Amino acid sequence: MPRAFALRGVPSRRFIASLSLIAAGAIWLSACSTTDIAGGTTVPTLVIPPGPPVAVDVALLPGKWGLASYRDEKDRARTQAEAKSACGNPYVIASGSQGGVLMHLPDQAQPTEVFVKTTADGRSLIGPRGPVGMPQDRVVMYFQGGVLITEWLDPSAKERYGTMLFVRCA
Amino acid sequence: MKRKSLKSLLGVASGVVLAGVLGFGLIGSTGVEAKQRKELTIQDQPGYVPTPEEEMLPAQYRPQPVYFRSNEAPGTIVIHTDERFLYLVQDGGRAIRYGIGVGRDGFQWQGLVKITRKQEWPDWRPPPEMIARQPYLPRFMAGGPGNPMGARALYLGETVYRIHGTNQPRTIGYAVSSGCFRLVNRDVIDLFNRVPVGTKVVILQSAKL
Repeated sequence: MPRAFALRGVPSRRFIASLSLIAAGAIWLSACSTTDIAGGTTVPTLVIPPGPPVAVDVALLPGKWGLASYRDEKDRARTQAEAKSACGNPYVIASGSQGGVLMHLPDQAQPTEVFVKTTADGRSLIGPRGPVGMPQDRVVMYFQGGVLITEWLDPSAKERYGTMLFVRCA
Repeated sequence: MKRKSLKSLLGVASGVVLAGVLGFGLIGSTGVEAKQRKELTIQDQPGYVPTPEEEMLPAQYRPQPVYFRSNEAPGTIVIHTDERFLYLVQDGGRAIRYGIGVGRDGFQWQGLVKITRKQEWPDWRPPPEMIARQPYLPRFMAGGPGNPMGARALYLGETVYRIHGTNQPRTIGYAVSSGCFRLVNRDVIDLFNRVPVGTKVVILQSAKL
């Protein structure tokens, strides 16, 4: 529409849309921080929810795992039994070529090489190479006795998939 | 001769008009029936929680009392898969009609079964073909909001078939690829509360020529 027909003093729709985008970006960024990595690139990182320190030996991850998920702690025991039963269609974690393991990131059909990352207070995360707390990281909640429990750090992925429980297959 | 031809023409024209009127009556909700025969290409969405607005179904799919002629006793469930309606037979030639979505399993057979089990917030197991496409999916997801099985399940006989809820309200009225007979969560809770274990369920498929 020619500028001659624009109303004076009324912001254009494009201007308002731009302001909205800036505001939305500011709100998103306020929930995370950024970390400079080599090469000057900044990567947004998320706050890691409180939890127990868990040590993870990456050498113990490759193998076949029964995979199930739950949302409520009351369902954990039976979900673990279901995960064991799911060894008939196991989730396979393979060794990576760079010292990590191959696992899927949220909603990705192909696996990515991921690494164990640790925080100063002993928390462990599994995610792509980069700083601790990337949105694609999984927080390890438990790793003992052939049982691995993780939660996606990204709130959307966590909401969709719940708490992921892996049981090592025989 | 000319009078006979005119009579024939009038007869044919009357027939066409009558057929048109009847056809319109049968089509009834017009675009609705055409829509009902379509399959909605949509995958299960684990973790998706619909908004209250999405859970508001079009008027014809909301639970409502209807006239329903049947020899079945009150309390029987009758499912017409082609119509995408589930009827809970009531007294006096009436029924409560619920809109449903019908999964591939729901078209596989017809007959009589009974409800053998009821479960709140049932668990979900993705089908193998879905796991093949999305290998990161859990093979078992414990029940809860966002679970594709929805808020309630009524298990039919010793079969894999069930009447269940859904986290995808827009599949109501359609044929879909997965599941069996699905209702929105509010409606499946309503039905769940009305029918006991042992309820007779009649599943009717349309005749195929």
